[in-house]
Amino acid sequence: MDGDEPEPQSRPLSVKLLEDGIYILSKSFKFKRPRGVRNLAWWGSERIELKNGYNINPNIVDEKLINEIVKIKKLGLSSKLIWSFRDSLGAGFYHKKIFRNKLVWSLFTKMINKFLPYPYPDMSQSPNTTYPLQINIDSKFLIIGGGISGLKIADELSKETRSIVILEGEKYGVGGYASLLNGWPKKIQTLYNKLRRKGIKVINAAVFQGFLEDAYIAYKYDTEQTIKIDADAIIIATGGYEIPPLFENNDLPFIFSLTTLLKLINKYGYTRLRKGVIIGGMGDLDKALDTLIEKGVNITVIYRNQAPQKDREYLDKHGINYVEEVEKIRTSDTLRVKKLLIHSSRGEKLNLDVDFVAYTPIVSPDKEVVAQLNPKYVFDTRLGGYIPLHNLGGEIFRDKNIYLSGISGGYFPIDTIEKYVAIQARYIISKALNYENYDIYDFADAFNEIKSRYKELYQAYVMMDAAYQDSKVYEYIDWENPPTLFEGDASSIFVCHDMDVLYKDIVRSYKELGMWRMEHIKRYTGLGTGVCQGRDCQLNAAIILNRISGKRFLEIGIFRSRYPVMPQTLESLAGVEE
Amino acid sequence: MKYDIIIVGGGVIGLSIAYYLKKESPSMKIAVYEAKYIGYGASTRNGSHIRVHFWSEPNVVFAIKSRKLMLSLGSETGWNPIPYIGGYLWLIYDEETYQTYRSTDKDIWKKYGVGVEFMDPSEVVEKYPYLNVGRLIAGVFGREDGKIHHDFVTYAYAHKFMEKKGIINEYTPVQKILIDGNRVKGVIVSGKTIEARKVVIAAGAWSKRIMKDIGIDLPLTPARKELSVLEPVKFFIKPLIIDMREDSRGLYVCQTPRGEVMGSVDYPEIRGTYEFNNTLKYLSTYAKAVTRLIPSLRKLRVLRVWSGDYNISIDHSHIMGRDEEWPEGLYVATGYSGHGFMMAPYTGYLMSKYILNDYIHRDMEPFLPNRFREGKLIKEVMVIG
Repeated sequence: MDGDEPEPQSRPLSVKLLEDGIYILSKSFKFKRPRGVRNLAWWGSERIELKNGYNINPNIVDEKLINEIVKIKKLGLSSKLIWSFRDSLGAGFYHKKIFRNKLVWSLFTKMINKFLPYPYPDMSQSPNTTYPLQINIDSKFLIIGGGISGLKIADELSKETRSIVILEGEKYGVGGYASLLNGWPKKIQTLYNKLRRKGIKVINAAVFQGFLEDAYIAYKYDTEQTIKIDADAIIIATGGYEIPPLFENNDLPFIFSLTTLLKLINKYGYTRLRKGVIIGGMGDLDKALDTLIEKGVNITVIYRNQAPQKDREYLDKHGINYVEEVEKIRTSDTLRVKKLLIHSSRGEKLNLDVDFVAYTPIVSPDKEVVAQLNPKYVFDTRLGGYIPLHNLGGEIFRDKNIYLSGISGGYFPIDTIEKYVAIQARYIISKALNYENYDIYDFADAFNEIKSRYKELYQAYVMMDAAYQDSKVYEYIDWENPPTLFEGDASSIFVCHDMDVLYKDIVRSYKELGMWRMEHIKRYTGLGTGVCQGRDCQLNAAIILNRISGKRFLEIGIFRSRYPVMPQTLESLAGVEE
Repeated sequence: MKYDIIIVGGGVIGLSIAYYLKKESPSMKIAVYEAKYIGYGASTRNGSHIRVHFWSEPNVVFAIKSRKLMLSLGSETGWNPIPYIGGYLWLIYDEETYQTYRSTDKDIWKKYGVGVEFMDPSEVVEKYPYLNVGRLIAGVFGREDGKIHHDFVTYAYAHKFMEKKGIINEYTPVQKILIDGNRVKGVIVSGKTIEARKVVIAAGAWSKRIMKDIGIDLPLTPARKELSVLEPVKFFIKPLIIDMREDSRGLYVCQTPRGEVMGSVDYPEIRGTYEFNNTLKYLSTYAKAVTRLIPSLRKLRVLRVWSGDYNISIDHSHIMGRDEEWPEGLYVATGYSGHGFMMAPYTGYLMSKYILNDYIHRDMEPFLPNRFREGKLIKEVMVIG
């Protein structure tokens, strides 16, 4: 595959910094709290490395800023000071009596501005009217996402037409989640080569940005060009979206999602992560562990409860150390050394030096792009019917010739995905090209197969949908006493990592001000007004609100995720022709 | 069910009226009916600015009083609306406009102590080195204008109103205003009749339709406007800057103290009530105009876009109160033409006095709806964006 293994110099800035042992790569918008990688975006470019926090943008940030961030971390002073200030006052601190004094308020804002280093934009830019040119795509089918499902669906469609374009967010290669695990890339490579022989175009470093009223737009971030799309049918195969779990201090810089860990190690050949802890629970742990063991990474798995039988068998077989019923984790985190002290309720105590802590993320089906369309129902080929999408009003999907494909993340075995996607492809062809003769009814069979064979995974998958649909699947969590795991100086559970919204801020908004609608929580706390636009935090916030207020998910609502999916430079938009 | 007063519309105007009514008369039964959630329309979608620089006397007077109330909102409600008085900067490119500013200053602004500073192009460049001003004639700087957190103002009114047992119903659109003879009888909500002695229409862009249903035609045109924010950078654009070049299409740009650069152009010109979507036309036009004005923004990235609306009246000024020819008990507060947020506090204050005591303050007199019938339009043209 072309450029599957990126050259070291073409690695994202964040990866280069991590290689130097610098975990602090970003800051949150509101209080400039230092942040780590957490979720490495699938499009791991120099332009945007992090899904959350203050992303490093080389256009406005230079070595100076990174040094500043590192300095803050080393001193542990100014950010801590601001943070303790904020923490004692809460999200509603604007309303505290002391700040009603104009003088105090102006001093406070001045202090925040002084202490917290914002970057300056490049002031040397000269007025000039040449902008990056726009790219036009004109094809029958546009497939968003070059993962296993996108490739497979292109393969099926290519039997009908060659007018297909695939947009892939990654700068190098294809394969999505599937490319992270051992044993899969070969199959992907074969598929990819086959498509290329047929003349099907894959555009790398292209992120689908959304459905504007007058155009469908993607963004090629390496050349900073806007892509204008003219396609008869659009197939969304963007896979799953990782929702970070809620636990105390879930924003410590050395905590990654498991897929990010795999991506760093497998895709970017990152060698520094030698030993670490994985918080077990959901997801396909064994496949990930296979990969990590092969790379010689030393792992300890911890469980908040008991380990599932399946995991236990696997861990025993491979002689991997694991701890069950973990009660508390104490951390001491300096710039380069991370120590964990793990206590279990069985009296076990473990003292570990680690390079990372990884969690298995909850993967939400591809709502991020879909939500922009504001539809009441989505025609979901995965389920063979219409599924309600939140409580948003608007169009119905199929009328726009837009389809969803894939089964959310390459965690399912490849043959199952292939089989399932093939059925979806046939359905989409029959609809998009107005064919009548396709038998679409074996859908249910395929889905049942997934349900029965991969019960646990299926459960994880439907949980997210069920949450939207007023289900009780989250009842097993004690929401009055939310899950805590890490013990630290700012003992807090982060819901929104861009705007520093904590679990307790949401509780406070409800208890003190009676707010429980997501639209109000968003405006009051700032939740979801950063880069993620609620894709990371909204579901977690909805679950919290549901649990504390007893309101139904449909009443709580979901606010609209807006254009763009990935922040896009002004000059790329200025380059669009009239 | 029976109320003393029903307010149709839970935006900042409706909530401000509700708040002041409750403040004046706590025992009164007042309900707000909102079709979506609090602040759905323009109230939570605006640029969160206040200004006192208008071109007509009634608006200047109204805005000065409104600004004062807005700034004391923190001590009054306990919600600090985070004011930042950074000023407005108009960049003027033709002689005629410049003379209008000069004469407005002489005739109106000076009279009311509204501060204004006329700057040569060289002064503008010196003070705002990041601007690419082109063939600028002059800059006009209004010191008293600035930003205030719009959501917090809306919530402050709602919160304090509810604390005094005021009722706010969200997701309950009013289907019809009931008129009995020459009196308002109430409203119909979800097929049910809710009685009230007085009904106030403060439904923003939807006011025209509601009033038309009962045979009253207000000269209003809703206009959809789009806005966007860029990723946060150092707070360096302190005033709100209005680029008055013809081909800038009404560009304005500002920065929140949080660092996000926010701005808009009036393009494409979409009139009527539409879904709050966004267009590529807006994004590319805005990007071209704003990078011409501030070249250093070129490499900054757009974080989020959204849209809201201006409810533009024929003389770019709001309509408040009632016409004596209307059914008794029917009031409006609408048509704010893009400055509803900044006018909300004084609107609520005066409307509460009018509704409770039938007292028409002289500041609100020019804004009464009978001005259209009698041909006494307000000479206001200063609409930004």
